[in-house]
Amino acid sequence: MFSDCDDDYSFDDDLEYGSNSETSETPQIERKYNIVAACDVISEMNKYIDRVNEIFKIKRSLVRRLLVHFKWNPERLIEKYYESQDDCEGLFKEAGIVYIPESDESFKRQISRNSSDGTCLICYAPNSETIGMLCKHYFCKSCWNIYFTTQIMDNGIAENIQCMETDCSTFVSENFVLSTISGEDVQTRYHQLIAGSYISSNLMYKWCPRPGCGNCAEVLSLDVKHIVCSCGMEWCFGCGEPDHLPLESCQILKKWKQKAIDESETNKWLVINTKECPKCSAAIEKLGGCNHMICNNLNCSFEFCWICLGEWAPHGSEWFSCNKYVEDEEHVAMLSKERKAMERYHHYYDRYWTHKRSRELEQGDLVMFVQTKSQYIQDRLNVTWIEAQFLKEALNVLTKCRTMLQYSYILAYYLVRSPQTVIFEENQKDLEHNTELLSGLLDNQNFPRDEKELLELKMKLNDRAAYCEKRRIVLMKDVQSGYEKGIWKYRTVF
Amino acid sequence: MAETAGVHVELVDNSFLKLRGEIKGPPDTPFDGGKYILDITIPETYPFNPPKVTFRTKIWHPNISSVTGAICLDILKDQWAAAMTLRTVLLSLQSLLSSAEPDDPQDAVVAKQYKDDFTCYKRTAKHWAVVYAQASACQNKEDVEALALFDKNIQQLMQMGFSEQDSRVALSSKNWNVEAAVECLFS
Repeated sequence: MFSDCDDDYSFDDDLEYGSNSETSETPQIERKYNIVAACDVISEMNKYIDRVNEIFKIKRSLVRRLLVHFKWNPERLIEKYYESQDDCEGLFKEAGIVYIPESDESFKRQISRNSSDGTCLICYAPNSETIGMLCKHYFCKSCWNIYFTTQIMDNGIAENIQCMETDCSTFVSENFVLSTISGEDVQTRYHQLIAGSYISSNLMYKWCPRPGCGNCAEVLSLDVKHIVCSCGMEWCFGCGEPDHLPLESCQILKKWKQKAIDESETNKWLVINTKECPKCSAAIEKLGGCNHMICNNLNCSFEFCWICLGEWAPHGSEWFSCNKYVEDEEHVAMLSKERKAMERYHHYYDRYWTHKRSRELEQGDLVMFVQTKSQYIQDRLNVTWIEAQFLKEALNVLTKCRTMLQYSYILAYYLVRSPQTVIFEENQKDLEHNTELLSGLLDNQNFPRDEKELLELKMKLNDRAAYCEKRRIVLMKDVQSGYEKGIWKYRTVF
Repeated sequence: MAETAGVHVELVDNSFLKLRGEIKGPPDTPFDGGKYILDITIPETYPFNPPKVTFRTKIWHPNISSVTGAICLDILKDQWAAAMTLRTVLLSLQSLLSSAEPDDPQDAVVAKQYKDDFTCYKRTAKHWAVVYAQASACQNKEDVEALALFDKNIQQLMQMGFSEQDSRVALSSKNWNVEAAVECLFS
């Protein structure tokens, strides 16, 4: 278990500039949580089960199933138990447990060459070392392994895996599975499945959302939201999404995403602002000028009237009077209001999306590029690995700033304008400007040719990165204090 | 595979992933003497996951969809065991034909008929078996008359312009009541 109560930046790459003293000053909620590995969750769960089992003194796996049935509420289980006058059978029945002896401790590896000719009856490999459980159905280890792996990885079954023999319902014990399966990912998944209901019934636990990470976060209070997993993933305990500070509310993020997914906004914009060319159906936005339209589609070039969408020729060229449709003023007013709302949304969405996309690109291409560059200066300019790390550190700062900017635009979209939002936007602007400069520096295709150029690059990057990190923290501080003082007002009621 | 048990499997092309199975309708059932073709797809994780089996031959049975041929059988789902073989699957399907499980239906319409009007179910199943699976005709005089009436009803609907297949499905679902079937076809 990894205790991570006070110093949760210890996972970071220990930025020279994003120094700990600075981060601990940030007025964030005091974060208290533990990062627990899947196997430790199991042992914790088992300890819990054993405490309950002091009353029952039966097999642990049976108590676990009972607890699953009672949603990990031991009081209710024990109450029921005493109600039913120590009648375990009845309890099992209610919990839907078929009481079949599970060959737990008694699982033995038996080499059963004698039982038949040693042929595994699944893969038909001759003379294989076959193993089995108390039910005496023997198959080769490789078949058991594939069987367990398929059940765990493909079918998501871990709790009630049965013997492979037809009509044999002996449950396979945990020990048998764990001693047979190979591959860390299978083991992690197995642990996750076994502990699944324990975790999901406990409000204080959640799995790290990074695929393949088997860690679990245990918060000590439900106010805790910002989690830094030992795998490096920063995520939000509230919604299980990647970290979205400075936007605190998971609800707003959800709403924003829904809005973005819907695309209805885009369609609405098209409906309000464009008409289709009556000939080639291309969407056309009228930016000004008269109603004599000429389709920009070079294959079409159809001339038509914007108002009636009919061919232009009968309208004549000297005059304009199309009496087929008169737009009433109210309609125009409504349209322009909606149009404004649309434009506003697009303003924020474009910026949100740009930073998101930039971050994704930077995590791919730029990481590769920075690695190449760092290798280059190590090889050519006699620089040690540690000294070449300044590139990677600057890149880390860049990623953090991008994330912060991305979510800050969601916040900005929903905030009601006030003097404080002007300050917020200034901070945002400054961070954005410097982030772009940092990105440009990192992306510079010129490799330093000598020591002097290297020093210059290093100084420039370090300065810019340090400034960016500072601005990022300023923005964060500002937003956090706004939350604390209740300054931020939202445009929509959530 | 053992021809004696009335089950049989062959390759469709040269891959072992697609097979064609065949089972004989068991005696003392409406399916007696019928030949049922099955489409069998072997998953890559076989035998640790069950093969996917559907009826290619149309059949009227509570646990088999009369439309798609999908089968509701526990061993093809969660009760599959890795030690089972295609032979056990085909034999289980054959025994499913002799003992239906109307309480766990795949085709709700058939299952309802099975429970509400068993005679009608048996005759409908026989009719489908004769038409699609070349099953042997009935011996019982009453059944013979009933089946002749079924054919007449289908003819009647076909004269109204419906296809043979649509007419058969509609009549079968409506216990061979012509009016109800017509209403069903029009809705």
